[in-house]
Amino acid sequence: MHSWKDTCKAALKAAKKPALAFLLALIAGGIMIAISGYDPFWVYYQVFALAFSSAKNIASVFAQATPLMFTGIGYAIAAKCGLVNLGLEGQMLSGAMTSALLGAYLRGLPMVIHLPIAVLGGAVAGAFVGGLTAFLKNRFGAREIITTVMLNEIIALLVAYMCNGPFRAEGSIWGMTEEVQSTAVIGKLMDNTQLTYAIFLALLLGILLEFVLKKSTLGYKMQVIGQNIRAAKTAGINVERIFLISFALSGALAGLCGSAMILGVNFKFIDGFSDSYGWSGISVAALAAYDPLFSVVSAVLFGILKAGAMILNRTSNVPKEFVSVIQAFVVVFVAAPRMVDAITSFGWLKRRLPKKQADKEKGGIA
Amino acid sequence: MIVLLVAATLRMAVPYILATTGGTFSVRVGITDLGCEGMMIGGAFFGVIGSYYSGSPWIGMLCGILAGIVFALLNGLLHITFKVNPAISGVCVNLLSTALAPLLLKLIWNNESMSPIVNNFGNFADTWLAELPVVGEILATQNILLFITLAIVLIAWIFLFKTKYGLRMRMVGEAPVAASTVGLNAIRYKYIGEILCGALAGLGGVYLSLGQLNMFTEGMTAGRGYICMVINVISGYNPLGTIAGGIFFAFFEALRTVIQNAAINANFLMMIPYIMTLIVIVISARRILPPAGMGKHPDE
Repeated sequence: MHSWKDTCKAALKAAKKPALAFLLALIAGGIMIAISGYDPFWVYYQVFALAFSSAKNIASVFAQATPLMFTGIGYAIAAKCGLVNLGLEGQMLSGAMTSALLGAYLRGLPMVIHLPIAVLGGAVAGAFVGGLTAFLKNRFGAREIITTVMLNEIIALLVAYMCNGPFRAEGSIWGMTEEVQSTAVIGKLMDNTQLTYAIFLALLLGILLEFVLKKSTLGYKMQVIGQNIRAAKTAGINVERIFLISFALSGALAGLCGSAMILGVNFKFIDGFSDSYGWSGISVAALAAYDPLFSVVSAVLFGILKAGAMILNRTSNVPKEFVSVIQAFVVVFVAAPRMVDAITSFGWLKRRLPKKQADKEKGGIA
Repeated sequence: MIVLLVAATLRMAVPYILATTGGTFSVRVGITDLGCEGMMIGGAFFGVIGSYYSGSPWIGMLCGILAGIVFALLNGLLHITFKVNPAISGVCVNLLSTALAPLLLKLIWNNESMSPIVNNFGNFADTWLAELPVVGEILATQNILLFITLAIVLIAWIFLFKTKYGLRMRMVGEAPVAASTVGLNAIRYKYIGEILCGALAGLGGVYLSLGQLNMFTEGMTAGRGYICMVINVISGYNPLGTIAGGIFFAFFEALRTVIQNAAINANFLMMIPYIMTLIVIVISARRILPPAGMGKHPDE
């Protein structure tokens, strides 16, 4: 049995690298902020202080974090078995469109039936697109990097066609679908904010998938495949089946992100509504070392940055676009642990001071 | 009508052909060309910056190429030196580039979505080329980059398949360990391939902002870099093949602009080439193979 102290120590050790990467990303972002003529310390202080300055702002942090939780967990679950799911954006859009249509055109159902159907529909649509990628990989050997990118484009065009063409709401000037029925709306946690009950679904799924990954045979198989696919095949694991499950799960999570945005925040599918939630999921999962539960935490961290920067943008002229740059830097530093090691080992400093080092060593021997 | 269509197709094809030829170099040295999208955005944006401050599209072109190279070097640094998964390093480049462009737009011009109008490459409308019989009408709407592009493709093909450096480059892509065993500096070849990729993808971006238009607008690459990755596959990682692949996608894009018919939805029309290529790629997935050393490092 592990004592809780050991668990804490292990957690701290695991958190060290992502924390370092996050810090480096903030520093890199800070340098950019300084070059742009703002005081980085003031900007960061304002961002973090504003994000927690009122109940409404805290709600906005979690509202920003909610879609990122879904896509972050989604990316993580595929990454655990070595798959690169670049198709989150398309899976998210297909989930969003399905939820929007189910929400708008199913009529006369009570909320207890209508809402679950609309939400599940989004998950199923995402899972279908994700599963299709895995099917093409398994059956034809098509690389998922290519197929996901293509499916992203096809789905983006398809949903744009749908909300501008056959499903366009009457009298709208911009492509959008009809508003969803009141029976398919995810309730708000706080009035006048975008925070909805969807965040509990994200949290629940994070815990559930963490449990699946760590405690179930399926999760064990996924991790084995991720670490060594040849060993997994030798051990008789049905790799193709696990790929299918994992990609479908990943797609379902991305689809749910779309459902949560449509049924909780926008209430209709608006052409081009996505704030690249799919691509952000990669940053979120990377910071969480591809762990479902930590993805929830890292989504909140990005939520703070996003919400804080948006609030700051309202009161000052600091552009909120800095956040996306910092987000990109996070992936750069998380993805390249060797680079972080090279930066933080101060090897460049040691090379500058060879004499002192040599003297020290001599002294040690004497 | 047909003249319009052909002229528009050529205009739309140039960025695809340029960036895909760049991608060919990247894949041929064994690096996934996912970062092309980011390099194109960099090229398009910094091309406008260069033209804005100097007044010359040629300086803009140089700036755009340099920006493409910088993003390619980031990709190279992450993947070649620090051994990051090539898909992730490509995503890094794309995320950074898509995030930087709107930020710089905001900082430099205090505008969220577009740059001011800058000097671009003029077309041939007032030159002797426009007076040529038959092709004159088509050439009138083209600019000098079209000929530069065709020359680049030809040179790239000769370089890759007819020179010893091209052979070595392909060897590094096929078998990096073997290449370094026989004394080739595989790391250097990989960086060269990556730099060429960045330069050409950057030039493709320049064509978007200074050839087709005269400004930068947010999201102007519209995923073209990703399409280049796809065209690269169907053209068999051959520079000459990129012309056919580029024209194929460009044709549908041109059709969309030429047919202003409300009954045919533009988005629906554009799905056709994607679905066709997806089918081709899926069916031929086991036949058109990327170099065997894809994503491998010389010291492993």
